[in-house]
Amino acid sequence: MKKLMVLIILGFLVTVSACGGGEATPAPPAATPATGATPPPVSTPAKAATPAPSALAYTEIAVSNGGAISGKVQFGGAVPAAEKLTVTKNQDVFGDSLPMEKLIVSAGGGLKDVVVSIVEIAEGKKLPTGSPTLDNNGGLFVPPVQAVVAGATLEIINSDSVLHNTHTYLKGATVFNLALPLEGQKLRKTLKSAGKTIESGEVKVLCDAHDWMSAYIVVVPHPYFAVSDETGAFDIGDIPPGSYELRAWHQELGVQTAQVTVTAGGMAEVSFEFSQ
Amino acid sequence: MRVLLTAFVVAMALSLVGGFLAFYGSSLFQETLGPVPLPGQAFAGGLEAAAEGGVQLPEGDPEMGREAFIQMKCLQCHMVLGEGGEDEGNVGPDLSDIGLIQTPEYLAESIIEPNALIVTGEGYVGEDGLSKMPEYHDTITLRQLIDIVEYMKALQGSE
Repeated sequence: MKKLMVLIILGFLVTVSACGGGEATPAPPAATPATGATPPPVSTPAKAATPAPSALAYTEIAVSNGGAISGKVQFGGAVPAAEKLTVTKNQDVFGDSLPMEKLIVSAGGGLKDVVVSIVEIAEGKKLPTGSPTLDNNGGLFVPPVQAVVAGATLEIINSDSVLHNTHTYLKGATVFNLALPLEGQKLRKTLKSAGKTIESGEVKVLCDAHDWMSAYIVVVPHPYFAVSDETGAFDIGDIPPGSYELRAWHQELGVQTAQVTVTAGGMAEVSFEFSQ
Repeated sequence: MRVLLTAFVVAMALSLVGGFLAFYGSSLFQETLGPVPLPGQAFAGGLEAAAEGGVQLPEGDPEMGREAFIQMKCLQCHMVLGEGGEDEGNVGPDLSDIGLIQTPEYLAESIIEPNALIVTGEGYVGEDGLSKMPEYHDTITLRQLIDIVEYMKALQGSE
């Protein structure tokens, strides 16, 4: 039905242009002054269903004798008291305060939301499929920290009854800033900078409408990453045997690295300790 | 038959706003405007330039526009004649007399591409100097945009 209408409308426009009504005809994208911008998708009738992993320098191979890296991230020092965020807007919806999620330490000292990834790996297991989600839910971004593979299409959701905007930054420069005024709204977006897929880096997410909200999306150019859970534990599997540099990133506590050797079918244990 | 008729009406409307659509690679009337190129680059002065070239937005319905203005939650950040903008230190400027200040083309452009021309008021921009106002092109339909602009044209500082 919709397709039929589209065809008819396009047909009409073509007719108009053929009759010399050039002014009213959509100009080809070449007319826009954009530098290196992607052409509007409308000219390609069949939208590619699979997001091409672009020019990632990563090759998928069958990993039959892979090993794993498993470990724990500890917080050094006394377990900090959980902090609260002060809600300054839409208190009728969110209440007066919300949990601060920038530094979450378990009773046992495990540090949550540390992104652990292999620094360099050219080939290995399949890239994850599906869309990672970022939900504006209850006045917070859920999850507050996640890692995604470069080129992944994010599904950005607004589960709240108020307007949120999802404003992403890479190295201090806006990647995109989307309005999500509607409850239940879902938008799909790929992280690109200057028209190119972001290959790696920490993308900060803010909501200008609610200045207490923040999140991070860490982009990794391969599938070997994990985010530490509530106990600080992380696990990366199906790694081709070899020696690797492992990187652990926390939004408040910085970066640490470790060398690790993965053996066929083996389990390499690595631990990190972050302190303030 | 009904399909044909609807298609014809939509096509007529489309041809009216063809010049406008040229900047957006021909998104359809009832669909959200969809992806646009890079923030702040592709459209800088685009609609303004279009207006100078004699292309204008078609007339909208101000009441539908007010409805869409509310549905799009513009009032969450903007005050209009004492209504809305409840945020401490409003995120966006007061729009009570925006119809006196700006052209319809500027208003339309600001809604779909806030970074084309940035209002650098206190608290209106983010850490990189770009507007805090998000882009609505994935959310708003062309019909809603035209109606919202019609509503905003009538915002002239008094009830």
